[in-house]
Amino acid sequence: MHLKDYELATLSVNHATPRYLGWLRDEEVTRFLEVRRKQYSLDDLKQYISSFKGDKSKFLFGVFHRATGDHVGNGTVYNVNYEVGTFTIGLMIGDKEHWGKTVSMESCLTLLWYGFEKLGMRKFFGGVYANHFASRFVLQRLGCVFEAVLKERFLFEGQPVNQCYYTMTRNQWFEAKRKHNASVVLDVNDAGKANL
Amino acid sequence: MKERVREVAGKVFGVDTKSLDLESSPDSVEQWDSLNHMKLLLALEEEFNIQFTDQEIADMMSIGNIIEIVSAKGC
Repeated sequence: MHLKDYELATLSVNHATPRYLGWLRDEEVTRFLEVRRKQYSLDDLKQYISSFKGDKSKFLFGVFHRATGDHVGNGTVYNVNYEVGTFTIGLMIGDKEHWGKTVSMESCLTLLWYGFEKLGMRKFFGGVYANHFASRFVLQRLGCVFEAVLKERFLFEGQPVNQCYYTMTRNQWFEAKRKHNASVVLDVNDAGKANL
Repeated sequence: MKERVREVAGKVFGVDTKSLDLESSPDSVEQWDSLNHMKLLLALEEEFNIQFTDQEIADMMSIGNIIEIVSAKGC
């Protein structure tokens, strides 16, 4: 898969908009995300975005549709542990017009690239609700390995739900990058934009 | 059972079942994206009155794998 329709760029507090806030208030968008448990305000979003500044253990990116420039979601690289070489990624595509397109694959490939090649990490760990089939599909399609289950880790609509852990090693990342024909240019400019 | 699996998949993906063989996967079926994958799993559970385990869901990435898993559940 050639990365071409979406790009990631560092967010600023200017991106804390009613549109972004609307995603966090959309039950369909947040259905499988822990952020659904809190009511956010625009100030909360600004604080959240600001919290990433200067913190080398986490990085926040906006996902933008290249053709329109629309901000359609957010991606994070977080829990970066430089001592043991591990990291996690998160993704929320708030604009439902882009669901079912290539945005999740392209975004995850970019986030994994950032963790493995920009930060030099050796292993990715990612947890997802066991019943979030769409997310699990993306991780599996990327070549992540289903490694562990934490039973009844969360509550989903009042019922306990397992958390499935997927992992990827550095070698597996380069294989995934080759398989998906991910032509990622190692170029993050001052705005933190990863050019694909 | 094999034909039923292919029929369910064909209906979810909106493709002719004849185009789905054991090797068919998200790499070869353009309509097999994350949303349709979710619909496929739910449709299969309903069709066969079964529930997939977490490991089985992780392994269901081709029509062949799906048929093996559904078959192993006694369907």
